[in-house]
Amino acid sequence: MGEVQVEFIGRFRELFKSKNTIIEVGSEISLLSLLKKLSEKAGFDVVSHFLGSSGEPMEEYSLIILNGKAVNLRRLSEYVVKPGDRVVLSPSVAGGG
Amino acid sequence: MESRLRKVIVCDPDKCNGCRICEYICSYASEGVMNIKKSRMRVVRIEPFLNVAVTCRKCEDPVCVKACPRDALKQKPNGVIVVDENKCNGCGWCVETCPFGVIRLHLDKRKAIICDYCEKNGFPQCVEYCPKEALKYVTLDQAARESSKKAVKLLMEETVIGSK
Amino acid sequence: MKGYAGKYLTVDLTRGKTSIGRVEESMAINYIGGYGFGARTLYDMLPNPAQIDPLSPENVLIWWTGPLAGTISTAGNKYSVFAKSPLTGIFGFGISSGLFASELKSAGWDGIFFTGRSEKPSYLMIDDDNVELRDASHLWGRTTWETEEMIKEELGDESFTVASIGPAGEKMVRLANITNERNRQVGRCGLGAVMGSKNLKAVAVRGTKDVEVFDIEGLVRFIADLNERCQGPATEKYRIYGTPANILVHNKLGCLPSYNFQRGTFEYAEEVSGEMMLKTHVKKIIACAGCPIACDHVNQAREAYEGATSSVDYESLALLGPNCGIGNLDIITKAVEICDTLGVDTISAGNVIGWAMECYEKGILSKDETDGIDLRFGNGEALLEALKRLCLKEGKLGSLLAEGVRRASQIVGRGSEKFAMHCKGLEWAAYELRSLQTSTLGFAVSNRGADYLRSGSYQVDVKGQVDRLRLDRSRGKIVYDGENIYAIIDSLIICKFTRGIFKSVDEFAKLYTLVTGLSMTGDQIIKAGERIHNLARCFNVKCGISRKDDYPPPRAFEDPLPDDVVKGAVIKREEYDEALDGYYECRGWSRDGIPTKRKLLELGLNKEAEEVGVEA
Repeated sequence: MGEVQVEFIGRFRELFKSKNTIIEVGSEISLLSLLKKLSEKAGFDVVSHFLGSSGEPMEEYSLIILNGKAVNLRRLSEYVVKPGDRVVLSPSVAGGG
Repeated sequence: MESRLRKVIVCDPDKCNGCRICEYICSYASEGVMNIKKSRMRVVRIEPFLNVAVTCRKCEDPVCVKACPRDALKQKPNGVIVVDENKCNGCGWCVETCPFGVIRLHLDKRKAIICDYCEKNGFPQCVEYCPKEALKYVTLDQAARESSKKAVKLLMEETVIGSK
Repeated sequence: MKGYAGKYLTVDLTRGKTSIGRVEESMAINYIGGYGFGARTLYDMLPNPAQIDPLSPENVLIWWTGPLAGTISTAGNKYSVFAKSPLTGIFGFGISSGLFASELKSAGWDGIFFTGRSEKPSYLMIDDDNVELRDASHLWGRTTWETEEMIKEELGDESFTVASIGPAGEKMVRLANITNERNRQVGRCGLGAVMGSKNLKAVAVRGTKDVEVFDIEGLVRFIADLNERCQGPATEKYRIYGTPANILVHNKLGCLPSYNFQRGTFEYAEEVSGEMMLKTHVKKIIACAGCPIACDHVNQAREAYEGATSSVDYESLALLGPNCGIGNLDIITKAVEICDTLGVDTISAGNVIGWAMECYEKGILSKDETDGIDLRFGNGEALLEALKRLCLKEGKLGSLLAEGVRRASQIVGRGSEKFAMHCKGLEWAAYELRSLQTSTLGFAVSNRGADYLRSGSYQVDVKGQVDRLRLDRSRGKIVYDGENIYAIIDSLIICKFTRGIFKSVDEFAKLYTLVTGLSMTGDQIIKAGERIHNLARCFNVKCGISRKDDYPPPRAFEDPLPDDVVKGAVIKREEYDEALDGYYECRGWSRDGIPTKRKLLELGLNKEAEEVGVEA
């Protein structure tokens, strides 16, 4: 048993009404499962912010940072999280270019 | 039509950002060209923060109609002002008298042009194309009702027991 | 052909004479507009650019809009300006948006060429076909905002749109920019200084003509679809928090430049975040003409500097904020206002002042050399004072900073060149170098110097599609593809914030044909992008650019990042060289970064193949 620290940036702060939260996990779970647990906690479909209705990655819309590394939304299903990990849910980078 | 049933184009200054898409689409809808100087819709940008689009208000007792020395302007029952191009000589008196400055002389024809609420398109195109839904085509009554609802929600929603 | 006005105005400032040039269809199809037209005409008008002093009458100042301006095309109202840059000594160019581009087209002009130098301060008035060089002596010394108001009043018509320089341009500060409609700038490369060197204070334009569109009905229908897409998730970040949303994201990734790029995180990031700014400082979000997105967040300062108003974007925010150790939005809002009114590029200014702060803290610059200013990181008053001096070239500090970070570090020496953050003399923008390495490659090979706007290569780094802390040969293709597409976007000219909206380059080609009636396919348009990029590179090769100039500054290789999230991140020289080789290979250039004859001939650049091309 352990904790995954989840932090929020941008619209996720509005949606979760908080800057961060904690999710208890037994051992390793998939990142997708974590997002589903967050959905249960928050009462809205978190996954829909990252994958569109046909499963297409919403790279211009959102970003996940896992332990300081940007998650490749095209391979979202391959990522796992374990106790002690840090996850950030964020809007995508909006540069001038 | 009773004048209270008339719909006018209203613009919410909180939503309007001065993009002028209404001007581009108006020149196309009314003249078939791309030229914002031929738009009947007028975007007013007062720096640094104020943006509003204005057009004909379908005034109850239109000054422009009374002012025209040649009786070239008439108001239809639905409120739209029509210009009789045979009578209009481009004197521009109506342009000066309109308190909203929404009458102008056509660049080429030099006759008065006023928003006709897209009669040939069926629905005001500026309202259709406004990307922020700042423009609405409503009765004044409805516009007022929406303003009070917005004010009440903003000021009271969180404090009144039982509301969301 | 439709869309284009089909003509440009030439203004000989020395003789005070104007004439008209034609835009031919072959030019349109091969170079599109904007960046493409600029590359073509700058190359042709300055055949020996190495000999030209950018601040002399021999330099040219070229303005181009694109085929889309003046129509209802989604976010399509932009203009671009070109010259040999007084900051970098190479291809200088910038793009600005707003009504100006639409008015210029509606006045019947695709572009303006300025040559020579006016004897007295002047401004150009364009009123459809009526063009006049008017006296600007009474405007000299005025801010850009004052100039716009005064010209409108003088001409008796508010419907004139004005692009002008501030006192910084007049004094030929190398970081000087051009401002139109208060909040929009042709920011980079010191093009405002070129205007100042020509005694050209402003351009005022009013257009009343129809802008011709080939298939206006088809265009309107396509735009309705595009504008609808612009209200969706792909543009949400611009519409709500604006680009300042990047502050916290970059901070989390360890790629937020702080303390002159010494670190990639900032302890006061929350205080200057886009989230905080929206809550406490944004008074209104406005749009450029024809844009359905609306990203322009206009701030008003609160307690300190109450009333200071400016449009604050990520770059300005990051470089005048965290990069200078500043964690206060009032200071930053005021700083941007100073830059916009006095007429200096916020990116270059924030960068060079950050450099000066590091010099001061290291004892490389003494208090005497900073005119008595305590130029420590985080000192907001010092930032504002240094900015004013920079803009007005006042004091020892102002005169030094006004040269830009490359020259300033060469003048000062004492090891300060090691942390002068630029490439080819253009100050690095707010993307960390060591923790976004594909981004760095894109910056370092860009045609105008350190610049991400020509390739957007940071995207693969921040989307986790590559290992952003390493480089390999395959990154070259990413930069190559990005550059070709962006060359088209910058030639049409359309806003890059629509890039997530267009499904493919075929849609760019479709838009082009709807407006102009000229047939264009996705393949042809991308080829044009490649042609345009190569042409600008050829200009740079003539200015002496080669592989040696396509590197990031020493800090990227020598100073590992200390931040926990990216601890030890640094660029390995051999990896960088490998990635650079990969890029040149994609480009069809020699190992020294020079376009080969074969590549140039393939692109139809025959003259350039002869003048500049090397054997494979």
